[in-house]
Amino acid sequence: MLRHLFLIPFCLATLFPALWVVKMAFRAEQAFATDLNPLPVEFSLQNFETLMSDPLFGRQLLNSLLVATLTTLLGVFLACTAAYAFSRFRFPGRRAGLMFLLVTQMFPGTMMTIPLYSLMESLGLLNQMAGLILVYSTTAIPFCIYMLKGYFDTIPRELEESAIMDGAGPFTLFWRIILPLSRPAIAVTALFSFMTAWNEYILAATFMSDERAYTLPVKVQSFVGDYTTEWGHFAAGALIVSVPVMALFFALQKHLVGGLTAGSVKG
Amino acid sequence: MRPAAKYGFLGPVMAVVIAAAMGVFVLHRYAGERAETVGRERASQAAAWLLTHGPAGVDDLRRPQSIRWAGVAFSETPQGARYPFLRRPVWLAHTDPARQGTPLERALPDDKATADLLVSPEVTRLPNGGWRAGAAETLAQGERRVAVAELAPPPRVEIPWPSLLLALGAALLFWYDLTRRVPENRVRPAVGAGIAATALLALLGPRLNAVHALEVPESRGSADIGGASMLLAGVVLLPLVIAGVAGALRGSRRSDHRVAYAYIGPALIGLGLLVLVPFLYGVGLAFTRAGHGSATFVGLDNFIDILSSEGRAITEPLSFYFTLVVTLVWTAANIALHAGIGLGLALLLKEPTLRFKGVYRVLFIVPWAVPSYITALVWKGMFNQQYGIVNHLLGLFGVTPVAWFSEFWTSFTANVITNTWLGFPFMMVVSLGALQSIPTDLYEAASVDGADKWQQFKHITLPLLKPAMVPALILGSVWTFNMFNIIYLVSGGQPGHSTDILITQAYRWAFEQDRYGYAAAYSVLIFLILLVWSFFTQRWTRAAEGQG
Amino acid sequence: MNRPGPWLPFLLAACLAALLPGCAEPPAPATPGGRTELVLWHAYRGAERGALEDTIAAWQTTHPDVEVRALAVPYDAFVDKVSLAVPKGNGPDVFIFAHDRLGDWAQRGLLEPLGFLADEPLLDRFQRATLDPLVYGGELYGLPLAFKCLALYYDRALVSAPPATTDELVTAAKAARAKDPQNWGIAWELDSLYFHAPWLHGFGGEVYRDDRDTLAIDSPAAAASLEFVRGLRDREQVIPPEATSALVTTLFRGHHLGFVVSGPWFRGELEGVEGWSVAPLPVVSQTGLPARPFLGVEGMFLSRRSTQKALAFDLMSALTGDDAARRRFTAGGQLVANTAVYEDAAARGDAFSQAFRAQAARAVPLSNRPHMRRVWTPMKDALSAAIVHGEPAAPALQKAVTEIARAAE
Repeated sequence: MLRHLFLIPFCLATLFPALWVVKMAFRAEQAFATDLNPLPVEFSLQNFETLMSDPLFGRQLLNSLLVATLTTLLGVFLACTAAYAFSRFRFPGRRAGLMFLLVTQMFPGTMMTIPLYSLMESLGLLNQMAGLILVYSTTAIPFCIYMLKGYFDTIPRELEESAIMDGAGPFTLFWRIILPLSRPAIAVTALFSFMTAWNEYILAATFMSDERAYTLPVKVQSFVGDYTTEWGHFAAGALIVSVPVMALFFALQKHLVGGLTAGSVKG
Repeated sequence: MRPAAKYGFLGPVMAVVIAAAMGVFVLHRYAGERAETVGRERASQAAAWLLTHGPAGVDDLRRPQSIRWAGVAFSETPQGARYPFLRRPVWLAHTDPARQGTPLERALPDDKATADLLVSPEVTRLPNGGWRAGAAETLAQGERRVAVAELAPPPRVEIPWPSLLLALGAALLFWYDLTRRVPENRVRPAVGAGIAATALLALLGPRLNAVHALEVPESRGSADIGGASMLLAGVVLLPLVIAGVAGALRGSRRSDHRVAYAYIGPALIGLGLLVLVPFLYGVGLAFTRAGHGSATFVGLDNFIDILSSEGRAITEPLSFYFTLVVTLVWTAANIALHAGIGLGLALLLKEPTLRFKGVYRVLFIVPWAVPSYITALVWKGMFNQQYGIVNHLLGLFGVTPVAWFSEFWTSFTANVITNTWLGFPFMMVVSLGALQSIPTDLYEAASVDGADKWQQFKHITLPLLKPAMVPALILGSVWTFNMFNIIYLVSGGQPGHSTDILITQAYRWAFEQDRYGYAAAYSVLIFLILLVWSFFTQRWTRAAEGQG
Repeated sequence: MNRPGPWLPFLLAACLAALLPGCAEPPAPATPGGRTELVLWHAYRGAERGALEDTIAAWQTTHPDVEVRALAVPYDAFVDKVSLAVPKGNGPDVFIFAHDRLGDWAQRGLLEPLGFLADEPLLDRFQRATLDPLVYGGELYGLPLAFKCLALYYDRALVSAPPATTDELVTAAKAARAKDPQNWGIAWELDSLYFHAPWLHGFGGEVYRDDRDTLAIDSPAAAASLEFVRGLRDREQVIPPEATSALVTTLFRGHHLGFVVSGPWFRGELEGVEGWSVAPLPVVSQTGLPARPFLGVEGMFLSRRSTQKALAFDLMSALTGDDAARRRFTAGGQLVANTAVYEDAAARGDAFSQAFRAQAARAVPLSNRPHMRRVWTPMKDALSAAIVHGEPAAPALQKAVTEIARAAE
């Protein structure tokens, strides 16, 4: 009960700024809400209607889902295998490899658009979802590897040693023992990879030259103009964009329990 | 009893298939690209010839059979025109005698493509596979002279089969060796890899060169950093990978190592490609003065300018050192708040018995889920002096309205509050995941021993959390160091750029002041600072590993 | 012990990689039956976009063998995308953007001069003032679609008639302020040079001298314009503090603000609000000069890498023609550069467009030269220091000049 007494006010404080977004989304006007009252005073679905009646809305939503899902699959899979090697093997170049991962995060991203464009162009991946997926998953992978490696490190080796005695190879160990035990960390990295791909719009808008290939965040960002922004539409779009993330997290958070149960350690 | 043993051959087969696919892809692009380069170059040469040699040059050009037709035209501005920028083109000479000396206006309606060309002397690919090119020159009086040449389709370009076969064979050999365990043989893989690398470079080199040559249509002595960095990346990356793999194999015969390399290979190669090219581009740019599509090499000038703060006092907001200190304080404050709040919430929310914990968790990630572009601006509105809710709430406690963005500390605080709100959900999720790595029976044992909650937290939770949390904190610090949009959207650097951090400064220099080289030098310095920082963190990672 | 491990990650990665292009099929440029294709990029949305697409559709009825693909690119990404894609040949044939980037693009060789393609009758359809900003280095690089400039919005409930001079403006603003403690007199984005420009020019100042290369922003006239605005803010107290654009909109919508200095886009923010009008900006009482805002032109540019320039120019010419302009004016709400539209009876009775047209006649074209871009940020700092934080105007401007010169090295 004490927990709830703390959690409920904190939760309200967290949601408080987001209320203005909700308010703007359900208002029939396009101005930015600056008043003191964050609660919606009118309830109009006009902004949502405009957005969803766009013939390309479904297509763009699908693009976003496809790009984010494939990014998550590719990123998490590659990160799992690499993290496993970093955690369980001692090989020449291991430190350098870990260091390299960290280093990749250090060069500021704002200067990257131009060279990335040239690279995508010469790989023939402009205007292709595969290009976006490739860029997004490599953006997400370093964190995923670090997170998973840290988690793998906490899994006792005794488990694997006993499996090796039973004749299991590295892949069996990885697939049958490490991965099932690491569900919480995989859930976290999956959410992270998904978010990386889901909310990005600058690269998507630069690489894609067909509205049927746009992702939803590009569409939402296009309500921002040089002098004015259609905030009603933007807010409605922002809400639509956030719903799948919350749904995904709701599905994933079940895996944030369990993991290393006492039983498996003893077994 | 190992069913996988039966399928062991799949490894080399897959390796061959991948190598073959890559080879075909490269070859295809190479051949097309090569023909394109040759065609474009020859067409442009012909046009340039005409431009310098004038109408007389037309006769010389009839000789090479590949030139189908060519002509020279020049433009003139009618006297006393209302619009001095209008041009009237006139034909001077043409390889087709029928068109010799025709005024262009009459030739235009039936030949739209000719009009296109005269307007702009770019190289275009014709539907029949040939090329049409032009050259232009603006004369002193604002007149333009244009020459045009059209090239017949070239013969097919030969395919460098030997080089390709060599690459394929070497790749096959290499992978066969790597996947079979033949510990004695450590020469073959290295040699195979070397041959493969050479062959690939032989294939890729001219291609990259070709791209390099074509990227800047009017390369007025400007450095093409894009093409050069890509070529450099190819040259650096391939031997690095090869040397790493071969060297590592030589160093040890243990098959474990090969397994490890195979596991991390795909991720690292992908990362290497997508990070190294932009990185080298940025580093290259840092040594130039770049803007408006051209760049000149200036050596260390940018770095000297930055580190000497261009004559500004160290305490001035636009000086590098002032900004650096602000950036460090910003990073430290944010990480402490993110981790503190995130971990606190995770501890509250990890209990399996807590009711509605799923709902809480989902509600707490709302700041992460909603695009930050709009929420950051909502925060900015909340900090408005007169109409913001923050001052309104403070007013209830008798605080006079604060002009948040006119003092350094209040403005900085507004940034930190906004970024804390945006950033704690991520740390909460990470902490929730990390907390699951702690076996619950440890707590049971501890409470049996009579340890109170605080002692449990201090002696069990914190140490055991380290392996999974430290990486997130290190990466989080790097991201916060480079957190651009919050500062840009909330305080905008107010007052007087004092709340800018290094990355927002770099952005301003690049995109508001057109000093791309200077901004790139900023980025390189940011990179170096973070590199030093990461050497420190390596110790903590190692310590964390020791715990695991 | 057999290890299927080593190659497995590669195999799965390869399978995934092979799947990617399959499931994410690239949207192939659809050119059925050998039709030629023209690509047009723009950053329009809403009604403006609808009107543009209508005019394109109208052109297509006369060109059934051509497929025009119009792509709306988010404003944020537009400049970078064009600057990257056009030199590599991945760009559009035609694109639409504000003219202030023109010099940069022309210098990089992205744009096609239109001197060969255009002729006098075609250019005669435009207001001459909207044509000149599209000229760079003696060459014409675009056809004007629409223009934008600031003018004076006023709330008829708080202000009886538009002021002719700044003295009248101050009096009216103070009167509006006095009507209700919640009211304010006048607002605009104080720290933006774009919004300050009317007063700068009204006091006789300018950004660059006549040669367009020598900075003149530290002149006494410029300092006087800063003092004037600071007086409005601190002495007369008619300007609300921290007047962000969102706040200005809210105040004006709530009838708590007498005047707003803003552009034609502001009408979109006032949807559903009655009782306001627009007038040209007043004459500055101290100098007798009119307050002249910057004039921005939305131009239609032809890519130098286009392979069908004559056809593309035909489209450009049609989209700036009388019929298309009428549609953009009525359906898209644009202040078009085509003059024929304003001869229509409907347009003559439209006070909104007439006010902006009158203002455009008294405006200073925004420089299209690349070095103009370096002026904004240092000037923002100077305006913020002198107007908002009350520092002396002359040294603040001097500092801005130093910063601009530093960037131009």
